[in-house]
Amino acid sequence: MFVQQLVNGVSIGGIYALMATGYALIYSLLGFSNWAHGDVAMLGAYIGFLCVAAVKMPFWLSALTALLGAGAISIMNERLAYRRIRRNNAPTMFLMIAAMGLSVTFQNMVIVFLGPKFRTYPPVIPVKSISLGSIKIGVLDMFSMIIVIIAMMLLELLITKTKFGLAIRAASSNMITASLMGINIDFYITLVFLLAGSLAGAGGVLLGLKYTVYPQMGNVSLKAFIASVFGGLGSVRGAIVGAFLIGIMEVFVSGFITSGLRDLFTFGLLIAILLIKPSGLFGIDIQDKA
Amino acid sequence: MKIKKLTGMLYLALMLLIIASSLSGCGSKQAKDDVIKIGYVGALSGDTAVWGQAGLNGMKLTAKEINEKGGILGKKVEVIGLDGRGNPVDSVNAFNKLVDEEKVIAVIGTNFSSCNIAMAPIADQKKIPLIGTACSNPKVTVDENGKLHPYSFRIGFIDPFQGKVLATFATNKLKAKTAAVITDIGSDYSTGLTEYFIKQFEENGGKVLIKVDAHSGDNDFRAQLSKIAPLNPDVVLVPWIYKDVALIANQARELGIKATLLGGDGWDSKELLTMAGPALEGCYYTSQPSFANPVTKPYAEAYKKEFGINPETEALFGHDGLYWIKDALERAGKVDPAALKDALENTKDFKGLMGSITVDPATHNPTKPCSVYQIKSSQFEYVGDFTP
Amino acid sequence: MSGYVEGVIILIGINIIAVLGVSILTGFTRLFSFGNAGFMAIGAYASAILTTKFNMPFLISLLGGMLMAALISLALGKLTLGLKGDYFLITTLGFGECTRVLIEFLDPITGGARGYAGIPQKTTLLIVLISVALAITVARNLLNSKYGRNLKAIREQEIAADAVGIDTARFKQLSFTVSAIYAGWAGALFAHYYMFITPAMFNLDKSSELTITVVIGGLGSLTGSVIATTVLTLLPEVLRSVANYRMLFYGIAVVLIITLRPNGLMGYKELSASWIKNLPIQVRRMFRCRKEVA
Repeated sequence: MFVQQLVNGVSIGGIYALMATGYALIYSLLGFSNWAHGDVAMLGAYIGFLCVAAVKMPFWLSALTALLGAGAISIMNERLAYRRIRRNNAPTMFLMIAAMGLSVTFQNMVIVFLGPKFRTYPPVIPVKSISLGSIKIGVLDMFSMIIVIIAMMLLELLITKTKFGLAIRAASSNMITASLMGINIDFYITLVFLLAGSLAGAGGVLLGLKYTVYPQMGNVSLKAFIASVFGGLGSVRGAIVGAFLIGIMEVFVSGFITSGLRDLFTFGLLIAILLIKPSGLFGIDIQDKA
Repeated sequence: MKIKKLTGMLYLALMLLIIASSLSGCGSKQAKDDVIKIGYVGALSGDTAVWGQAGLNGMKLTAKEINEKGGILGKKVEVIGLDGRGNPVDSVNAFNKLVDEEKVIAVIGTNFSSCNIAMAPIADQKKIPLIGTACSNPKVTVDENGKLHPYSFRIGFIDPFQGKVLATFATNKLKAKTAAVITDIGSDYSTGLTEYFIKQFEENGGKVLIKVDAHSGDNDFRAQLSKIAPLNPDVVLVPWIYKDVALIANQARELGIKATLLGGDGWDSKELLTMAGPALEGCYYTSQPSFANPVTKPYAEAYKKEFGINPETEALFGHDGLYWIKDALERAGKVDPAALKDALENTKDFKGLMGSITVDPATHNPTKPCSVYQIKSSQFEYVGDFTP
Repeated sequence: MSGYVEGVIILIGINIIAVLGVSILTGFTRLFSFGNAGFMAIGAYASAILTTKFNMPFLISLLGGMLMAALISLALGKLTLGLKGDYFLITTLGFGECTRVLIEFLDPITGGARGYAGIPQKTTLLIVLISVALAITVARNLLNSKYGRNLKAIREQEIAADAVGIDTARFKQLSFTVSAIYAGWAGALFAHYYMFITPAMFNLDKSSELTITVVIGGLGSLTGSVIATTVLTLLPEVLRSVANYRMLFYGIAVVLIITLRPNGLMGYKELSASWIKNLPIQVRRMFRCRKEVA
């Protein structure tokens, strides 16, 4: 039972991780929480679904379209809304409000134009599980776990080993200095939004495959947001650790205490961590811009 | 300056309130004598709009039919639908508007217990009969202290009844000895059904091994289902809305739960079959009598012809509700809300497409059977009508 | 006046009080919070329980609801107000969700997800009008006082405010608590008008709707908040056909306003004498419209 719950927790944590890293990436650069991130994932899930169900594309191509589509939407958010607010030198709170507005807009756009119905991907991967003794692991979970691990490894390589990563790290530690050093900040911000959006798109498609596709599905990113706060806003590694911690803890509270109080535990622990170590588990103390 | 500003603010607030009253008063209409207006409140937008739209469409179609045959007491019927958005506040506003502005003499709707519990005391206040559709909580017609809401009625059965039928069906037909329950504690419907199922099942000599809680929107129920799996119960009660039922069913099978799943009328949507047909093979659910019954065929076809889509069960409620009002008004012999209320209360054996309705004057609940359906080769199959 | 119109005005009044609370917090102190629906829930449930289980008169229940919200905001503020923007936001959001979850969990006291029914209808049009007038007066006086200027100083530059000796922690707490009291007030009025409350009425969407209203009205303008609340509450009632698109419009409006005109429609401006001079014309125009239609 304990091991089974651990498996369940890891599989939930994996999806949180895909979303949480996106939060962390954007936070590390711009210092604000991109609320619309979950809705980008939702739009990614819809793009993938429409490609598979309406256009009848093969699954891998649909997933790729979803990834790119979500990346494009993410860039659009930055270009149309966030960039202008940044240029105005407005307080960070405005960015958060804009993100909230985008989130409301996207959810309701889908409700109005595609309807509030719940949709399901056609069975690409069978609903089956592999038994290891008394432990059952879903095939779909293994598949999504592999995707998560690959994505995380690529991301880690990208950040630590490439010029792109170096530029991002430089910009996130001090944007003005970085731009004086000849780094094209806007270009890299666009790239980061593309990256974060694509990760969200991947998360969305996986969520859609595992569960269902519906306009409010992006709300799950709330948990991803908590995960990234948990790990320390702005730290990609922290976000991944936080995501798995939250996933496992949720399952354990639901499984061994009561799921009625699950969110209470999650938030309680969050507040406790913030009080003990305000910058999260792996956070670096960044001065607030407000 | 400060004081001036302050009075300015207050003036403004007052002015806005005046604008408000004039704007919302603009739509006020006079009641015409040759038309009987019946209101409908339902979720016409939002994620449950499928049902609200079906209910309103069903009523409009039925009104057309009644008018073609000469109307009620020689008067034409007009149906006015307003959006309650499936939430109590908007439903109360819609109800008020229907009564105060549109001058309806009765209101049909909604399929949400929470909306009807909120509207019931207002219906009493305004003395306008309110006929709920699939809202199944006992408190829709009888308040906290067991006092009857005199103007509140309903067409569907109540949660205790559905829970009892399910429990008895499990014991007698499925020969189940043990059960497990997974409840949505964020939903009044789910918690109600759970409570009465457990009570009846234990009365029947069965044993409820475990009851686990979850929330709709969680999407992942494996933490809870993993607790059920090792206990190996005969049946698992899943009193959820179809979307969650599909997820729970798939995840339960993935975790190796082989028990027969049971559920209530929240299962009643064709979507469920595409989402989890194979996982639900051989499972049962109870529902309001629906389109599976052959007598509904002509109506279903007329509906499809008129609106171009397959009707949901809520359309039948619209149909039966309107005919029930017609029946009651004709027995009352006059068009008057209070007389209508009395006539509704004394309904005996009104024959609708969903079976016959006899109202219990003490609770305003109809006595009618509950249909049981089974899922076979990804289709709903009508098993029969049951009483506990 | 028909019951329906009265109901709409009461709803507007209740919303104004709740929005003013957010306006003080977000517009004037620049603390972005998602917890106000939670405080509304606390006010609503506390007052409802006082009325029904302890047979308290309405005024006592109302004050009880407000007091409960105030006490909880004091405790929560103590823990979280020291945190930075994003962290504070997430804790208020967590607070809102936890309140809802707890109400659902404490079934024997609160009625759980099924909701709390059988609250007597005590909120009348007069009570709401008095409450709105009082809420506006208190908010205005507070913001024009020394406290208010300190709040605005914190809004503009927290570090500078700190440097000139403003006890920022204390003033943030003040703003947070006043905001919570307003929310509790609105919640208590709400419970005693609709006679039935469920935890789902006070969810995250309610909190965002309050914030959206403040943003559309203009951050830092009480007048704007009042106007925006009135318009946004009326819109779906007057034009029921737009109800479907309502939230879509709000979302777009928020994005446009915050990017193009972040101070909103009224931003930092309040109603003044010249406005009042034009008032009769406005009103007359309004009444003319009414006659034409009638």
